[in-house]
Amino acid sequence: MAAKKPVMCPNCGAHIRKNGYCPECGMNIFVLRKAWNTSDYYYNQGYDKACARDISGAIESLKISLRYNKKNIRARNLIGLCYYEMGEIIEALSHWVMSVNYKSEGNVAVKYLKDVKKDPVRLAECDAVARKFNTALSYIDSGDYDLAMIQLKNALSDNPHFVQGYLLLALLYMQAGNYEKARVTLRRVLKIDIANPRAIRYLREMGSSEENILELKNGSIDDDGLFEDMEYEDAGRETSFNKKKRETKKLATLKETGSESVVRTGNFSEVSLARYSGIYVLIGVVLGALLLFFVIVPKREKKLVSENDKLIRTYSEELSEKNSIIESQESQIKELQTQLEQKVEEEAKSTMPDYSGIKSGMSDEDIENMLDNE
Amino acid sequence: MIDFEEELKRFKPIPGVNQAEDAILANDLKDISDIVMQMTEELRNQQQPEATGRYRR
Repeated sequence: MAAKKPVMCPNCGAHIRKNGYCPECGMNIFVLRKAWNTSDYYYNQGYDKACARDISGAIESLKISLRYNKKNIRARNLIGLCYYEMGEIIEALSHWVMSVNYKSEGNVAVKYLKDVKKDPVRLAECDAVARKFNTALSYIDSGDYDLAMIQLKNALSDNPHFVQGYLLLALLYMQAGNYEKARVTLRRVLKIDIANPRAIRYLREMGSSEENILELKNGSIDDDGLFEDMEYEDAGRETSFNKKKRETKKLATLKETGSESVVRTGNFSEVSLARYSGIYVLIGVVLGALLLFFVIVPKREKKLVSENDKLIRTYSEELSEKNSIIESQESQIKELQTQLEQKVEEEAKSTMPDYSGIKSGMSDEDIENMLDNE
Repeated sequence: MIDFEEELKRFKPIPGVNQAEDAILANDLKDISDIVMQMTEELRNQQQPEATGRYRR
């Protein structure tokens, strides 16, 4: 019969006694095992919720799991992943760092941390998102809701998975009375975290039924136009809060002046200039092309022609000058040649001997003899 | 009805990269083993003076 393997204390490493207690630290191994089992149970629950995209529910279960066993590596890694999905990167990193601290070998958190470290731009972006969210909170504290909304939209355009940002933005929209935008914002939350309790509560407060919420979950977020008016808001355009204030002010002044013929027929929707951006671009391109063909090109052609004329004039002037030089030199050459000829003639005349006085001493016979001899 | 001010209090600042260390420390919570250890320690501390008292007597 094989000897029973001794049980070691997970806390101090000493041998556990038969009664389940550690003689060194006094830890009860049965209590610990029960705690670990409960931790695994909550981990499984969290895992199921995470698979069903109930991220906030999964986080709650995983938190309980970690209360029972803080060294539950799988629960640590999964809670980090849930936070990462909800756009809270630093929270995710902190869980993964702790996970690696407890167990570094064969731990998937090592890969997660490596991936995050590999992309410093993304990390800087996440830092910027956190900063923008915190700035938005401080703006809200000082009552600047418009600025807070701009900050939140900026943060959400950087990280479209940032659930906290969406929730705060939805709350601000609700406060401004813009329930349609609030619904659109909360739909984005439900796309990430299907059963976010806060998002569902806000929707119920706005009068949405269970069916409406279900429809909202199934709807598309691609063309919901949440960030459509962002650039105009950035440029200091009128926002919902200012609009509301302005409208109430206008109504008050109208009442004061006593004009009773004011009839309000429904709401006027603000014309979105972004819709016509394509046409504006097209008009811009056409105008640019026309400007190019009718103003810039003819001007350039004219300039080129005048430059060419100038060049031709200078070259012809140079050519005529050279021709005159050549002509003068040719005439000089001719003159010199005649002079040379004259000189040669004169010299020839002066060196030739005068044979006029000489009489031939040889008779015809002598010449014939001489020729015969030769 | 939602109380806007009350609801706003639920939103806490998000830690940035510089505060990552604080976030790690905040996540280092106590689990069952820590509590059991603490209880054992307290029990020991309680028992020790009694034991020493008896010995002296």
